[in-house]
Amino acid sequence: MRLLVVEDERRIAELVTISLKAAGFTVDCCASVADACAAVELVPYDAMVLDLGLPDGDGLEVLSAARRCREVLPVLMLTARDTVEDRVSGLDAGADDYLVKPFATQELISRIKALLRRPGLALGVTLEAGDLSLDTVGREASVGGQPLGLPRQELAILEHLLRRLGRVVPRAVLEDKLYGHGEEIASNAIPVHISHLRRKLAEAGAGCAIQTVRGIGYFLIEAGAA
Amino acid sequence: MRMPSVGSLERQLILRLAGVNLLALGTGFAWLIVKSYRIAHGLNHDGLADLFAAEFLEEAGWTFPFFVIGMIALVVFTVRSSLSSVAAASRQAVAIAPGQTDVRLEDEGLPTEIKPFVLAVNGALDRLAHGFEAQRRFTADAAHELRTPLAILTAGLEALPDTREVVALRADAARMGRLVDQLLRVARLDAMPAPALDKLDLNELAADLVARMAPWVHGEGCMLAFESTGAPVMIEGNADMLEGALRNLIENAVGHSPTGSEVTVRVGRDAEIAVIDHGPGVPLEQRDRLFDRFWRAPDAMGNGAGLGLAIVAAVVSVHGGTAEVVDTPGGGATFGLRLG
Repeated sequence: MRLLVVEDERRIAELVTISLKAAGFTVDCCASVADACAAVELVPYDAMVLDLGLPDGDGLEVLSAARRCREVLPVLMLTARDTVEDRVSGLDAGADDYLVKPFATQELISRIKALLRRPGLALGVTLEAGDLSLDTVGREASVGGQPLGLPRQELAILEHLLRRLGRVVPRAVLEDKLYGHGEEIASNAIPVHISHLRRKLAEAGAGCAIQTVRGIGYFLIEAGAA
Repeated sequence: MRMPSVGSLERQLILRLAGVNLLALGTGFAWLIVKSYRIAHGLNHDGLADLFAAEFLEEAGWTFPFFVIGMIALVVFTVRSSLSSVAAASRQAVAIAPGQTDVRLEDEGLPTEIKPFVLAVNGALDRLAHGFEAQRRFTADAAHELRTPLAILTAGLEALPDTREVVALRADAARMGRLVDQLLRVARLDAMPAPALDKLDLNELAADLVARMAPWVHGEGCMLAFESTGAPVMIEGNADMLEGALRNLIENAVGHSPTGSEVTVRVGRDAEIAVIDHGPGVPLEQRDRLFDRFWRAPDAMGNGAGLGLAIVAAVVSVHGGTAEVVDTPGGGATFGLRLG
């Protein structure tokens, strides 16, 4: 996976590059709008980490240049501006995610991984968390090579949770994805599936667990991750 | 018909002009009667003259009220149309929303006596806008200047091996980051004492924030939960400020909660929002000062700067609401906000 990091602050660029390389990515670095625009046109990057404040312009310019030549390029925005308006304008401009400085590099890596897991972007990808892996084409989840044999709906729930690893998936979203319009949904359908999944993951020693956010939804978290 | 308010220029002009005109009209009619009486009298026929005057009153007298009404309508119309440009300028001034700094009053077509006044008001608006812009740019610049070195520090510390000292330094950097966040929030609040308020759904705002914060809360060893009636709770509010206030309350609650306990965010039907924890609670004697800036409990073990709840109080007051702390049934603190 090849990433482009656009960041003018030399030290941050350096540290981000080191940790992304340690996480197994190939990383190129740019420090200006002009360089970054040239780079996205030349190289088919898998994702871009984009700082908003650049010496020769706004990072959003790079974003629109990138969108012109590449329709699907996941972009994670970095910024020191943190108001709701800033976040909304960045996401409106086409960024896929948003991280406010200072950030933990672990958080940066997991956000990038999450972006690369987006449906439609990475077809036929294997999703992983802890010792669990889910083959989105073969429709099979396994732990350490041992298939779990999950029913269709549990597999679909697990896939959504894996695609947004470490982030909350609202229960309403799961219901929408699993059931068609007008289809009768038993009020406890999702919780029942979740509790089965939870038991199966624990029994197989998957190294990840489903957490409940009462009143909102669920998230999957790797064991040992804070 | 709209009545001009007491003390308005329009009312004064209408009353005076109408008075003068009424006097002139009355005098005119009286003069006509006297004149016609004289003419008849000149015919040397007293009885005929009296009859003539009486007939005049009978036949032409009824037109008097119509003249009066017509005259008053003319006066009102003249006064209103000559003051309409002033009225338009004041409507523009009334329509300036809080936080809106780009509106100026229209000075075209104003009477020359009033134009300098409107120009002076526009000048004052220019200076205010300039001040706001400088403040806004300062907080934005400060955010960048403070956060960049912090980001370098955080990333640098993360790249080091996990020794006891490094772990402690990471916590220090995180604390510094939180303090910078809060100071910037205070600066933004001070720079924008009357921010733009939009229609928003409190339920959606709270649910969204709970979803974003839940993984962090889990990492801190607690659980975050959300309770609501499910129906939208529409209020006039500033999303950025409300989110900041709620974030502070959740962070506080998590900081004071025993491991494994639940922190609940509850949105009520009447624009109430509560953050409920099961920690030690807040002693009665501390509740009054709790929302003061830089105030910290004497036995505070945490490492806050005493800004969090002051921010909450300021945000709530911007929304014309109230903040209070009560006991959670069974132990703990419940921070309740009532907005608008």
